[in-house]
Amino acid sequence: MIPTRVDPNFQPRAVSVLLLAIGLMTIPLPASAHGSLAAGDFYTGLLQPVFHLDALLPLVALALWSTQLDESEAWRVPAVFIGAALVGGAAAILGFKVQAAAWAPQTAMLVLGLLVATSLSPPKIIILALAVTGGLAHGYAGLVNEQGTIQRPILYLLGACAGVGLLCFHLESLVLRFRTFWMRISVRVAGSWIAAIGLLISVLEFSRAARGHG
Amino acid sequence: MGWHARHAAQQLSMLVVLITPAIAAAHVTGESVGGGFLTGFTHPLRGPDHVLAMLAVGMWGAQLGAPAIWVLPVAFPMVMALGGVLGILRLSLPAVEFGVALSVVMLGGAIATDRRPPLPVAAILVGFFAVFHGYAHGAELPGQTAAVAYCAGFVIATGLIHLTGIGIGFVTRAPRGAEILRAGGGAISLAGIYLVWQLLPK
Repeated sequence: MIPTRVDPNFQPRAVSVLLLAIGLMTIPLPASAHGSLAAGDFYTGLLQPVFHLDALLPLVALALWSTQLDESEAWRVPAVFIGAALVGGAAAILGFKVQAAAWAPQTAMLVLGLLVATSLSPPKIIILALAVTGGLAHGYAGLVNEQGTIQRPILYLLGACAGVGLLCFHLESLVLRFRTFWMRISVRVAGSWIAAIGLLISVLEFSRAARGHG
Repeated sequence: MGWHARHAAQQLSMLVVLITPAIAAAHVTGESVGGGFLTGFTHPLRGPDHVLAMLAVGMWGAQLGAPAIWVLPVAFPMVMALGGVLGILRLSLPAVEFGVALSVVMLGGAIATDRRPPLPVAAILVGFFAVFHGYAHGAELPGQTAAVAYCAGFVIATGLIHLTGIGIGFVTRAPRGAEILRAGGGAISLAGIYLVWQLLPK
C-alpha cells in the first residue's frame, strides 16, 4: 500500500491564520489600487506572477524544486532567490543593461523544470548559484518589463519580492504537508510540464530572433 | 477524505477565494493570456486522435504498473516538446497525421493484448509517437501571440488526459477489471484503425 505519512510538525491552525492574513492583504482597496497612493506599485509588483505566466511558471518550478531538496535548503533557496531578485531589480532601476535577461524566464522554466522532473539534487554550490542567477534575472527582468507603467520602481520591486515569497511559502507548505509517494510524482510531473513549456518557448524565441536578424 | 487532506483543501479554497477579487479588480494589459491558454488547452481536445492516444498512454501505464505508471507521465511532456520543437522550426516530419492515427492503433493494441515490454521499450514506443503529437501542437505555436499561455494550455491538457487514462486504468482493481481495460484498449485500437483508413488515399 502507498504510505500516507503526514508531517506531524505542521501547525494547521497557525498556517490557516497566516494564510488568512496574507490572503486579506491581497484584497484590493478600490481607492488605493491606482493613482496617487504609493501602495499601487507595491500591489502591482505583488501580482506580477498572477498576470505574467512567464514569471509564474519559473517561480512554481523554484518552489517545487525547493521541496525536493534537503530540509535546510527548502526555505533557504527561495530566500536567496528573493535576495538576489532585490539586487537584480536594483540594477534595473540604476539603469544597467543586460540583454541576456530577456531569455531568463524560458531558461529558468527549462532548467528548473528539468531539475524538478528528474528530482535532481545538485551540490550545494550549484544550488546556490542557480538561486542567485535566477533571482538576479527575475528581479531585473520584472523591472525592465514594467518600466513604462510604474511610478515607484522600488515599491514595485518590494511587492514583486513579497509576491515571490508568498507564492513559494504557500506552494511549499502545501507540498511538504503531504510527503507521500504520489505527491512526489505529482511534483515531478508538474516539473516536466514546466520544462516542456520552457523548451518550446526558448526555441520559439530563438527562431523569431533568428528570423528577425536574417 | 482524511482530516489533513480536508484541511489542505480548505486552505487552498480559501486562498483561491481571497485572490479572486484581486485578479478581477486589477487591470490586465497586453496580449490575451486567457485566450491563448484556452486555445492551447482545447487544441488536443479538438482531435479525437489526440485524445484517444493520450488516454491510451495513461491506460497502458496503469496496466504496466509501477514504475511505468509514473515514468510515462513524467517523460511524455518533454519528449512531446521535442516534437513541438520540430514543428516550431518547420522541420519536415513526414505523415504527421498518419503517425498520430497510428499511435492510437498501436497503443490501443498494446492495451488490448496486454503487452508488457520492458520499461525502456515502452518508453521508446510512447516517445516515438509523442514526437508526432508534439509536432502537431508546436506547428501552431509561431502563430500565437500568447505563446506561453498556449504552451501551458496544451501541455496541461495533454497531462490531464494522461491522468484521466491512468484513472480509467485503475479499473483493473475491480472484479474483471483487467478484461474491461483490455476491451477498452481494443475499442481504442479499432477507432485508430478507422482514423488510419480515413487518411488513406481513396
